[in-house]
Amino acid sequence: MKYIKFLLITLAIACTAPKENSEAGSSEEKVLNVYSHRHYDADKQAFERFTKETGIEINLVKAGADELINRLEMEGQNSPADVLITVDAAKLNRAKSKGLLQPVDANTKNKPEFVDVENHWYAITYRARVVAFDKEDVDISELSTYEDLASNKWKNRILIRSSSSSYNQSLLSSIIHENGPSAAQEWANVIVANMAREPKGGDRDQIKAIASGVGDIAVVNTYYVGLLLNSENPEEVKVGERVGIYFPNQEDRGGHINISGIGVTKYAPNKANAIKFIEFLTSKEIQEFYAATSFEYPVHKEVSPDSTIAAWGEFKIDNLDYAQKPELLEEAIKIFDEAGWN
Amino acid sequence: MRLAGIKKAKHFYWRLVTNIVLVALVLPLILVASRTASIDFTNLKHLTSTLLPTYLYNTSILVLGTSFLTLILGVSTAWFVTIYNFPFRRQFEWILILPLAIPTFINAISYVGLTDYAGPIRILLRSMGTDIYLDLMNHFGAIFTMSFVLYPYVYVTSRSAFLLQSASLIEVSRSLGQSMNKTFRKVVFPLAWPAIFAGLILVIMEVLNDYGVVSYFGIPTFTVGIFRSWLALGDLPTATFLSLVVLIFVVALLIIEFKANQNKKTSVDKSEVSFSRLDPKRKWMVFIACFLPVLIGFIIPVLQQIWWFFLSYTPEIWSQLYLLAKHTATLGAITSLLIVTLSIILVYTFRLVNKKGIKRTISKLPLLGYAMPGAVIAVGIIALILMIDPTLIYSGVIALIFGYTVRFFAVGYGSIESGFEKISKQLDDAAVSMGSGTFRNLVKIHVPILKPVLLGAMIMVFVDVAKELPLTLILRPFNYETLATNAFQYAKDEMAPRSASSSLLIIFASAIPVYYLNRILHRK
Repeated sequence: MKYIKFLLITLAIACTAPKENSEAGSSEEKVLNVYSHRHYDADKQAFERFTKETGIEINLVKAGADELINRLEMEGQNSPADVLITVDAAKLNRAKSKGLLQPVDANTKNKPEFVDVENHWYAITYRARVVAFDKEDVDISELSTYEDLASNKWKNRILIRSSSSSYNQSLLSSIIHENGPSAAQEWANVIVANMAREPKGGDRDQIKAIASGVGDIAVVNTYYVGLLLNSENPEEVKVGERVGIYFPNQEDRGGHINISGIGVTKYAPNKANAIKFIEFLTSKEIQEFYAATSFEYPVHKEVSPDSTIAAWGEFKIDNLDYAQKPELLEEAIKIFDEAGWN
Repeated sequence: MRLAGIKKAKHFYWRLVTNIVLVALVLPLILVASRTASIDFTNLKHLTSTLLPTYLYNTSILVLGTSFLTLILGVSTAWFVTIYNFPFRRQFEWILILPLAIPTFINAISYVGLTDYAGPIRILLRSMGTDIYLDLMNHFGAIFTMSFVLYPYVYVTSRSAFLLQSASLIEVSRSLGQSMNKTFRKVVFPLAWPAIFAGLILVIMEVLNDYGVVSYFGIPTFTVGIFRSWLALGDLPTATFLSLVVLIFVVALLIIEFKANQNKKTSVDKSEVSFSRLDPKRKWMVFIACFLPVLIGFIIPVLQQIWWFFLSYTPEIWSQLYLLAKHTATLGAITSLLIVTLSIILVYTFRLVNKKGIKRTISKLPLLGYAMPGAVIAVGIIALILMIDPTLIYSGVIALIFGYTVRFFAVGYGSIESGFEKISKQLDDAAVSMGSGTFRNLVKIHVPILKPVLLGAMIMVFVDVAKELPLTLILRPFNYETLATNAFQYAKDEMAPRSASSSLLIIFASAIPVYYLNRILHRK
C-alpha cells in the first residue's frame, strides 16, 4: 500500500510541474519533424539541401519502421511527427491501416505505381530483390522465378538471410498473395531444405559466401550489390564482380521490389511543410541525386538509374498488390516459423 | 542529540528518497509488463508450439558457454595479477579491463570482417595459393566473440574481491603448508564467490539482452523472439510475455546470488597481499595467460577497426566525430553519476533499515531493468512520460538518461551493494554511539572506504552507456546522434568500414576512464 501511495504522490508532483513550451511551436513554424527508418548519408545530404532551399529545419528521429509505428501509436494526438519514412511499402500500409497516416495531395511526377492509391504515401526510391548467381557455376538459363527456387536442382545451393529481414518478409508476403498460403508454406519449406547453410549475416555476406564456394545463388537486394561493387575494399569489389544479377518472374508478375516511401502522419503539426518535403524528395533534382549516390532506383518518370544499376538492365516490376495487405507480413512470419527458417 | 539505544531512529528521509527512486525505477517496467494482460493467445500458441524450445535451446547454449568462458578468463586473470609478480603486471591490471570497451556487436562484425572472404586472413591465404572457408556465424562464434569482451565484468568483481580479501587469510593457509593452487580453491575462491557471481550475472544479463550478435549470426534466442513478436508481428503483449520469461530466469539467478551472499561475513583488512614468487618460465606463462584475452578481446578487433578506418578514411569525419563523442561523454557522465549516487542512497537505506522479509526482495528490484531488453524498457519510459507530460519526450535527454538509469542501475547497484557488505556494521554502530548522524557516517566513513568500488561502478556504467543502442535509438531527442548510434547505422547498412571511426572512439572514450580507475585503485 505504501508503494501505491508513493506512486500516486510522484505522479501528482509530476503532473503539477509547470508545463513550459507545452505547444511544440505554433504550426506556422519553419520546422519539420521526421520519423525515418532510412539512415543513409544520401538522406542527410538531401535533407540539408531541403533546409537550405526552404529554410525549414528538419528534426530527425531514426529507428526501425515498426518501432516508429509503435511509437506513433503510443503518442497518438500528441505526436510531434509530421512524416514517416520506411524502406518497405508494406510497412507504410501497416501504418496506414492503423490510421496513423493521412491522405495528402502532393504534386509529384512519380510513376503511378509509386504513389499509394489513396495518397497516404509517396515512394522516394526502390530497390529490387534479385537473385545473384555465381557466374562460373550457374548458367543464367537455369534461373526463372522465385517459385522455381523451390525446385530440386537448387538443393544445398541457395544462400539467403534470416527471416527477421523485412525484405524477406515482404518477398514471402508477395508469394502468399500470388499463390496462396499453403503453396507459400510449401515454398518456404523447400527453400529451407535447399539452403546451402543456415540463414545468417546480411545481404553482402550471402554474396561473399558465393565467393567462398558455400553456395551458388543468393537472394539479395540490389542496393547491397551496388555497395559491394563500389566498396573501399578492392577484394569486395572482386566479390561483387563475380556474381551476375538476375531479375526473376519477368514472364509473369515481375520482380519483387522494396519501396522506400514517405507518408504524412495523421496529427502532423506542420502538414504544409510535410507536403513541401514530399515534393522536394520526389523532385527531379533530388531523384537524380539519389540515383547517383545511393544505388537505388529513382521513382520519377524522367529520371533513369545510375550506371552501376543500369548495367543490370531494365526489368518488369511486381504489381505491388500484396503491399496493400500488410496483414500478410504477419502471416509470412508464421510461415517462416513453421518452415524453421530462422 | 540522539542517544543510541534510547530512541530507535526511523530514518524517515532515507526511506522517502529510496521509495521514490524505487518507484521511478520499477514503474516503467510495470507499465510494460501490464501489457501482457492483453495478450493474444493465437500468437502465443504459435510461439510455444514452434519456437519456444528453439529459443530456450539457443539461449541456454549461449548463456552456459559465455558463463564458462568468462569465468575462466575473468577469475584466472584477476587472480594472477593479484598474487603473482610477472612482466607488465601493473599494466595488465587495467589493460585486462579494456575489452569491456568493445560492444559485443562491434566485436562480432570485426571478427566476421577479419575472417570472411574479403578479410585479411583469407586474402593472405589466397595469396599463398590456398583458401579456407572460416565461419564464425554460429554458436561457437557467438560465445567466442561475446565472452572475450564480456569477461572484464567477472575480472573487475573478482579482482576487487581478491583485493578486499584479507591477506592474512592467504598467509595462514600458506603457512599451514597449502599450495597456492589449493589456497585459491579452498580459501580464496569460495570467499570471493559472491562477488564473482555478481560479475557473472552481469555477463549473463548482457548475453540474454544481446540482439546485435544473435540476429546477425542468425541464432534465434529469446531476444530475437521478443523483437520478432513485437516488431514483425506487431504484438507487444507477446513480446512482453517473453521478456517476463527471461525476467523470471534472472530473478531465479538473483535469488541464488542472494543465498550465496547470505552466509558471508568479511571485514576490511588493509594488509597487502605479498606477491608470490615465480620462476622465469612460469612468469612468462602467466604473462601469456593474461595477454591472450587482451589480444583476442581488444588488440585484434581494434586492429581490424583501424584497418577499416584507413580503408574508408575521409577528412570530413573529424568534425562530426567531435559532436558524437561529446554526446556520448555527456550521457555517460551524467548517467554514471546519477546511478552511483542513487545506488549509494538505496544501499545505505537498506543497510539502515534492517532487511527483513519483503524488504529483502524490494532491495533487489532495481536489478530487474538490466534483464529487460533496452527497447522494451524504452516502451515503458515512453508510456510513463506520456502519462506525465507528452511534450517532455523530445525536450532533451531526460527521457534518455531516465532510460539508461532504469536499464543500467544493476551495473552500479550490484557492485556498490557488495562493497557495502564488506564494511562491518560495527563501524556504523561505533560511529552512531559517538553521536555521528547517518548522513555524516555515509560521507565520512562509507564513501571514503568504498571509493574504489564507487569509481569502478561509475566506469562500468559509463562504458555500458557508451555502448548502448536500442534504447538510445528510441529515446534520443531529435537530431541526436551518439557514437554508438552512428557506428550502428553504418554496420546495419552493411558498411562496416565506415563505422570504424565511431567504434574506435567508443573504445577510446571508454579506455581513458578505465586507465584512471586503475590509478585510483593504486593510490592506497
